[in-house]
Amino acid sequence: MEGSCVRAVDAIDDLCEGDLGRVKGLLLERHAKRCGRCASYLNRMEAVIDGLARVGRVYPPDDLVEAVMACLVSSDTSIGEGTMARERGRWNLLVAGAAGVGVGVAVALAIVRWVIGREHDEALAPMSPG
Amino acid sequence: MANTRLSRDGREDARLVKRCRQGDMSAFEDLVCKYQDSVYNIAFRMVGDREQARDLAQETFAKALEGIDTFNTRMPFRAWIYRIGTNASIDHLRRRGRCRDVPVEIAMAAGTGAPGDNRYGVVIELPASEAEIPENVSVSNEIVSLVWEALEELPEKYRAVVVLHHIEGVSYAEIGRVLGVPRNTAKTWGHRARNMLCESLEGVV
Repeated sequence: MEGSCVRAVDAIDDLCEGDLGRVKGLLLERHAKRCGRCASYLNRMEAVIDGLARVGRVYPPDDLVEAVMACLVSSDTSIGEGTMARERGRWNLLVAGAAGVGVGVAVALAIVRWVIGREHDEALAPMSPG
Repeated sequence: MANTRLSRDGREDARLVKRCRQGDMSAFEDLVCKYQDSVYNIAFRMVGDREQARDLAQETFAKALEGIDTFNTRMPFRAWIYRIGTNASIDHLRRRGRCRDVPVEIAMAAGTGAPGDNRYGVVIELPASEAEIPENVSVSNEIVSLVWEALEELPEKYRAVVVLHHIEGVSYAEIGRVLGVPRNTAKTWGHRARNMLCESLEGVV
């Protein structure tokens, strides 16, 4: 493929995207006049784009919204369920965390009390008779 | 996936999603009303069957509601719902094994695209000036028919790009978000899809 053909294919791509500049368009037009292969490719590509553009829009059935909503209401799906579950999970975690901290503090206090009590006993030991 | 700056429309959708999460079913109904056209169109253009498109649209909204808590409200809802819809259609096509049980029917009657019409097929709207010339009509119909037959043969993801970009007018950046690929990949798929469609017209145009 010649360099000018490569540029023409590139320009045809821009044309398909509706993004073909004026200068590029003129160069493509000039090239297509003397290159049969590119002219044929351009014609086919224009036909493809035209074919896609000719497809009319289809409209959903009138009762689609009602059908969707009825289907959702009848099913077990309930909105916000996940959010509520997450919220519940967060609270459970918080309560468990608080309980953990409480137990930790209680254990720490017990240890401190035990250590202090032991030191106190040791301090009093020489003073005891015998 | 990077967060994007939401448009006014996107912010409105995010508000509806937040209301939805608080249990407001009417907010979800608003979203269904807003996106039913596009979701149904994408499904119909992907599978080519009105009844199946209707089922797929219902499936899409049911999945959206089911996963509403996982949706990132800083991302556009449109891309998210298109993603669910496109994936549902692709899964359906894979289940169907790409075998068409319904022939493509070129419907020329003006009422073919009307709601409630259950005929299968492609709706073609010809400009009045061309429609008056029988020769032009037959040539155009043949081309459109060939393009649609070729579209049916495209790999699902290529077909999705063509439907989203050329029929729904979605940008490649958004198609990238919908299909979960970079923008340039979506653009490349679009380019390849057009070339494949173009090949189907060899010897005709």
